[in-house]
Amino acid sequence: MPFDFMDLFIIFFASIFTQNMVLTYFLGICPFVAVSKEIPTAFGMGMAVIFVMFMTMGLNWPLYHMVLVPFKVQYLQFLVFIMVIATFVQIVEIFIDRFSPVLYVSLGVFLPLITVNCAILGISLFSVIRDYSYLQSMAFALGSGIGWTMAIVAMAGIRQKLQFSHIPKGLQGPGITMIIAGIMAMAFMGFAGIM
Amino acid sequence: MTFLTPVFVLSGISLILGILLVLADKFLADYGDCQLNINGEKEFTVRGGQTILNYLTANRIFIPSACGGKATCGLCKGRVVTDVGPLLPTERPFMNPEEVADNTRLLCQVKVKKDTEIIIPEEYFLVKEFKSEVESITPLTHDTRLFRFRLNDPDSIKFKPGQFVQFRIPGAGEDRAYSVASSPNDHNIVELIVRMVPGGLCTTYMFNKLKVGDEIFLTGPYGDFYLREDTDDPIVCVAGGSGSAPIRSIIHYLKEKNSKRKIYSFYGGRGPDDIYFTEYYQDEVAKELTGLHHIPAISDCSEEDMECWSGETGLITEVIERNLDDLTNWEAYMCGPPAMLHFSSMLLVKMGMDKERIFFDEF
Repeated sequence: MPFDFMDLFIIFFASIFTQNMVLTYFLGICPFVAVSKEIPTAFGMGMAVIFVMFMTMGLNWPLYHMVLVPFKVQYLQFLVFIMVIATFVQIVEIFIDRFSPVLYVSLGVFLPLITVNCAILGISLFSVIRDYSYLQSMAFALGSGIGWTMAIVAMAGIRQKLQFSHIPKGLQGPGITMIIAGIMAMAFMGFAGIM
Repeated sequence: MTFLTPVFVLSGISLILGILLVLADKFLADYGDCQLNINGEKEFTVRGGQTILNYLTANRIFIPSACGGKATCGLCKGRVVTDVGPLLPTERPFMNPEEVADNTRLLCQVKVKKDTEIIIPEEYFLVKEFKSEVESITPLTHDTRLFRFRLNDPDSIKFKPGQFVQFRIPGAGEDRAYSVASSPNDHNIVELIVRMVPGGLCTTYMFNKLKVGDEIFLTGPYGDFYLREDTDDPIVCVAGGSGSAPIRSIIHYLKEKNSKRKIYSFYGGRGPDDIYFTEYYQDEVAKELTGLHHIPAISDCSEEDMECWSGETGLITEVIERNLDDLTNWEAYMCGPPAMLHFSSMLLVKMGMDKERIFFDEF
């Protein structure tokens, strides 16, 4: 496939705005609701997601196209992808525990959560469904990570403000968060007109 | 043969990932044998990788740690002499500038990755773990109970009146700190006064699950809040809520010592329901401890309360002011909610007490 910068650019921006992982596909909702109480933690979680998304996509793409496809066992993709993600997260955790205790305590709590973040598995599967090339997949992974981070940081900002408003008791916590996520998703639909 | 392909592919990939993990574990997570040196006196050889607190507990040196190593209680402070990297964000909220300067760290957050030297207060070497048995549970008010534990192994504790022990919540791996309410002369007994905290992990357990005969573990003694015995100067005690526990220990101890010290013991509660031990102190204890004046007071009194309450009313500071005047050369022991301690100590200083002689235990 000839190198097409415009194509990468479109995939990258689409995955941030028009096809945002959280707000369009509602993937990775669990940490999106659970870790979005404060901006710094949300940002830390977002950084960890970008990093793991990018790296696991880099591993999963060749594994799929060079191992699963030649052996005609594409249906193993779910198992293989999740195993790669889990192993990768483990190794990264051991690595930063050794070399950066500060990063370990700020990121360390989020890494185990990421293993079960379905947005991570989601992008690997999407790249297969959409038949992306390696470069397209990487642009897609990076964009999705940034889009996810942007959404969770925005949500954390709103929730910090929300502490000062009177929310009916039954809606406090995850309830109101889901409603806000819905409104944010509708707002993001506005981006669809751009591209 | 095609049906075997997925088996081989999957096993192959699992194998490679497994090998990668093993290698990472071997070369990255293995820190080898490290020497952990404590106060230049004791040294342990440990397999690196875990937190200092874990190794100390494993070697039966008990550091106060109420949260079980989650960096939420801030009790497990110690100086780490070896350079083990910068202060972590989890530790920062618990450190004042002096502590940052002299390398005080939370021992539950610092991992041993090389030979490490630490300095902890000497008295932690005296702290033991006591296998104990619940002997009785006595309700004191609607939300406060007295728990009496018999120590079985070791069967004797040595502490100063006012210090606290930690109660290990079975199955939770966490501890909670409670002041000892019994006299240090009862070596075999530890009594705790516990007030129910709605939703609290430990108090829920103690109030709903714990029954007579249960085996539990206590560690202690801890704390620098204790009776100073180098003087015979008069004492003011101020307590609120379950804060009467250490004061009770102090009063019992002085009674058994036949002390002639003058003691004004103020106990504040919201309503008459919160007040306990009044007759006990005023009639029984005061008979032997002649210098004791026990003054309970309630702060939120309604019309009905006034019918069944004949004692003092108002904020504890107002009550102190009504009962005492010049406090030069007095000593104070206070335990209760932070606001109560803050305003009481301000008042005591105003009434002439030396700030250095006000001791308090906040909760």
